[in-house]
Amino acid sequence: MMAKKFVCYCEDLTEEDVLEAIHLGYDDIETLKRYAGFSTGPCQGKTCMLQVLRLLATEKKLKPPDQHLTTQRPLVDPVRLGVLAGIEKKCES
Amino acid sequence: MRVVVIGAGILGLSIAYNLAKRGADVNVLERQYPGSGLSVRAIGAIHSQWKNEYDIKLAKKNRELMSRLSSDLNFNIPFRRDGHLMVATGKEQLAELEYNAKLQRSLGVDTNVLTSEEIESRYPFLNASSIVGGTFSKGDGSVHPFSVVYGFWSGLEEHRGQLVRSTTVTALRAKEHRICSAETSNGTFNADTYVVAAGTGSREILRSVGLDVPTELVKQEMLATEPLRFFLRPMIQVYPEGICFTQSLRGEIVCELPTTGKEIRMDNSSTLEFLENASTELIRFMPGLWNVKILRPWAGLVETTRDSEPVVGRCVYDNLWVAFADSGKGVMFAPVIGDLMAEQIMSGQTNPDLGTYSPARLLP
Repeated sequence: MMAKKFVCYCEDLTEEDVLEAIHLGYDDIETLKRYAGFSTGPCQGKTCMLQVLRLLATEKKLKPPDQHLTTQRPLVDPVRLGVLAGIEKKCES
Repeated sequence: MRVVVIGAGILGLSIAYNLAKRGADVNVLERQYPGSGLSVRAIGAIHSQWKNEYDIKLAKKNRELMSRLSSDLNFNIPFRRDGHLMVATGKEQLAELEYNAKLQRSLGVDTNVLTSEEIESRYPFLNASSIVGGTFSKGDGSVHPFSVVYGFWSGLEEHRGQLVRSTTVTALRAKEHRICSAETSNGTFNADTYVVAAGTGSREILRSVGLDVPTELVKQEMLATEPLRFFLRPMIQVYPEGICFTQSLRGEIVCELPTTGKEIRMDNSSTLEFLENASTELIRFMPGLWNVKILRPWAGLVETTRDSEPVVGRCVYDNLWVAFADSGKGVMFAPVIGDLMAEQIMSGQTNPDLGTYSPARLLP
């Protein structure tokens, strides 16, 4: 049995899944993200983004100037709604 | 017929697919990636609870087309017909909803009026203390917008249409009453017919042939939480312009809300104001969510017009058609707009059902 190489644990994606998506034509980082779903789970790309960029660069023979990340958004780590609504303390008490 | 469609958003791709299906030779020019404007940013509400007869009729046809889309395109498009609940927090808004529901029912849409108590007992997770009532339509629902974008793209290619990426249209060229070419960063494209569906880039393109359609931009922001066990079926919207939320098929609570604040940057950036406002509103209607974590926010610019309706139809030149300023109806109405537009373009006859969206109403 072939070993599986995971690139994204949050969304359960292997190298094979990502390569399949690239071969289907979802071959720019933004489209690939939305088709395959990597970087949309709890880690928000911290585990998977570089792995996927590596696969995309190898498959499409991209040089660094043609490679870019998807938009990086606020919340480096997940934050509770209660904190942002400013009622955290009230709810806990 | 050779057609150039400018913009591979959900409207451009829907029009392009429907044209290719009818035998046209279609090239879609996209400056970034498919759906890159607003299409992949929507949370995917598909409802028919409008206040005008023409919107309701289009929405009704649209949700039938949407429910057939998976088989038409041979692409997995998860359209969940779990209903759309509009709630009112004031008597005046409720009166409007009740009036709209009556009109919707007279046109064959299954909208029911619900009291605050009925809403509370149906959806025990909702805090209905500020809700005075609402309306619900069971045939409405929500769709995963990426799947619609990619489905139309795949359907387009199936019918020998082409998507040309990384191609920015810089200007159209006109001769008398006709458009004769599209100048791009990737050379000149010629066709018999041109369709401008370039979202917020459309106005600039139309200016190159002397057309200025007045529109406005509104910033919308969205967020997704960590996934939870599935409990929230319908899309819930605080009428008329409050928070709109549901649970995605992956279990995330997703919501959208217009950004308010003094100095809004009109771009796709995320703001702290939105995170605070959306968290407050979500907890106000679903107090149980206070301990749930937000994974990510995102943002988009909605283009709208003075009557809050899209700009869709033939535009001054004999062979120029437009579909933009979707006013929040882009993902929602993409199947029906694509279908009717393709029919109009192929026949050259304008369809009265789309007449209300005609650009003529906004041009001097």
